[in-house]
Amino acid sequence: MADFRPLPPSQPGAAEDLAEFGVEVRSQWRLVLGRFLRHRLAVGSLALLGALVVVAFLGPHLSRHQFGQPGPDLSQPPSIHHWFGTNELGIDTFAQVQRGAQRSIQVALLVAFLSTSFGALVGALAGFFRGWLDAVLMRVTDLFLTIPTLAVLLVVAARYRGSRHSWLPIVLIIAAFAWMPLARLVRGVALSLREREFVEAARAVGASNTRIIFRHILPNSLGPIIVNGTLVVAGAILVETALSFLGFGIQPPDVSLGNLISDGVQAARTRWWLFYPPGLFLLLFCLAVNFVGDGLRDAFDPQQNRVRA
Amino acid sequence: MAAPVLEVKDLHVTFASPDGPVQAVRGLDLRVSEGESLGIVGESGSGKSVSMLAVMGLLPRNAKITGSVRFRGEELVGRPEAELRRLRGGKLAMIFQDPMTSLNPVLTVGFQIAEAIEAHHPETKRKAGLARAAELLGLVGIPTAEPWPRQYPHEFSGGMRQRAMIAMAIANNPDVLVADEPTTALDVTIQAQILEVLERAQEATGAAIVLITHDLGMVAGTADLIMVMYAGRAVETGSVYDVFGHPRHPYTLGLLASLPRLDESGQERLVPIPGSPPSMVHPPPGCAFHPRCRFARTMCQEEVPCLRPIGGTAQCSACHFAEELDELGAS
Repeated sequence: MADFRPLPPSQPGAAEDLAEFGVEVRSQWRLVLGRFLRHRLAVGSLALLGALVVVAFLGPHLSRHQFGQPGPDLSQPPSIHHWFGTNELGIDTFAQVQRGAQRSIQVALLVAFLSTSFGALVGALAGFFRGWLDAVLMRVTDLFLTIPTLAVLLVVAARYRGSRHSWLPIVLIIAAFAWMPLARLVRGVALSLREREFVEAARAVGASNTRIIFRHILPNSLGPIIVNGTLVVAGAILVETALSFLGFGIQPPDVSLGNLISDGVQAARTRWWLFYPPGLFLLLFCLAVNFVGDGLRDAFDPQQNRVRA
Repeated sequence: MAAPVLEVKDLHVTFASPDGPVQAVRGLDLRVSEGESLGIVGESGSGKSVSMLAVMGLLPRNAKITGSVRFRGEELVGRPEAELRRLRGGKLAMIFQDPMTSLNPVLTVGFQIAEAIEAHHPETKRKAGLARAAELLGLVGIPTAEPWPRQYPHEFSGGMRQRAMIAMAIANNPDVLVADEPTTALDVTIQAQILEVLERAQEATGAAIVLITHDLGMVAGTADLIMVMYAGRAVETGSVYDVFGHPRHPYTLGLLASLPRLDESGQERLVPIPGSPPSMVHPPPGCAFHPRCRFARTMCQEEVPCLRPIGGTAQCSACHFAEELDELGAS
């Protein structure tokens, strides 16, 4: 029979015993990280994403030119002085793209954060409590899903058109229409988690509902939440671009990728450097975010053992 | 005898089902005092787990509970959820059957034990909680040294997880510790260790233990008192010594006869109890065991036998012919 007396704290035994057997102690996060790192496309995309963000936010330090500042060189093609050329007012396109990317990324991240938090909370509440709360929350979710998003966005955005801090209302509007898929997803996860034994065990030690939701349900649904959050970033940046393209998003003199593309579209064939840099930036950014999301999804799903090249 | 910590009287639990009400527990009485161990034995569906979940207030809302559950004289049935929550994990603790799934996979074991403490003592600092968690892990035989308290459940073996569950259950010095088949999911070699840990936990806290099991050997080894349940009722109660030595109910006799024994010649065949447990939607009239009982007479089909003391000891049996079983050739 084994000796059950607790080991004195000073005794080093236990930890070393484990090492002796060559067992590597790995937490779930380390496992996820390991799986993610094996996904080369995702890792490459993450590097690209990092590079794009650095370029966008280190803008003023990389280039002598400032966004929105007209210069003497009008409508110049790309050169040593103006990497992406200039427009008809002599404004440097590289500086514009940087500024636009900053705004777009800001909007996208904030939208992702707000909609993910809200969606996860709604889903967790609905799935955990079931009953009438579930019915009400899910019908509201359905309602939001049936509303034609772009039409409402245009109407509401028009109200804030021209106000100085127009980007914050835009964030809220986009976020208000981005939380529903996650709410449904988390509800499904919560419905299955609430029946798990560890939730009953938590209840048996006297944990309150709030504690169970925030300590047991939500942390266990973190995988789908993170994956969905990543994909929302890509979605939000596209919606913001679409709004700005139509003239309802970020208002001049501020710029976003959307209104840069919109401004450049007439010149796409003659002065291509006005159209392609913001367009390519947008393309690369969305592509990279999607691949990272894909990699995360695979990393969080232990059932999927597909080895990716 | 000391005043009982937990006293259950005439407990009925009924679940609504599409086929009609399922009478899972039909009038159960029990009492345990501090430091005592009560073993509840019975087949699957005999109502042993359900009755204890009812005591803990952990049954789903479609369960209808009547009767009385008194903890230190205080009535628990009908109490608001918030008050029950304060008792649960504090004064009443429970250990579940499957330790593999009873721990949250994304939180460290130490953190989860600390959580159990915090749920009842919100003023506890995180650091103090974790220190206490490590101490508790030591008590149940897990090394307190790093990195164990900071391990995740999947890094623990089944036995260690059940030890961790016990540590969590005794974190707040409970007065009643309910163990619902604590060793069923574990290797046989681990079972004895877990039982020993349970005993030590009882010594450390002075709690009354209610051990739910279908393993008669386990009850014989750990419990002081035994209650045999069948079809939602207690059919025999008494000290482990009396009940095993001289069973007074045909069902108990059947259970014992269906156990393999090493101390006999090994030539006798095991005697199974014929038939299967009754449907609890339409339990048989009279004695619920009569369709499977080899001593059954017409009286058994008509009259519900009540649990009554037999032979002047603390042993009680719910059989009309408890006194005559010997003459009927039971043994």
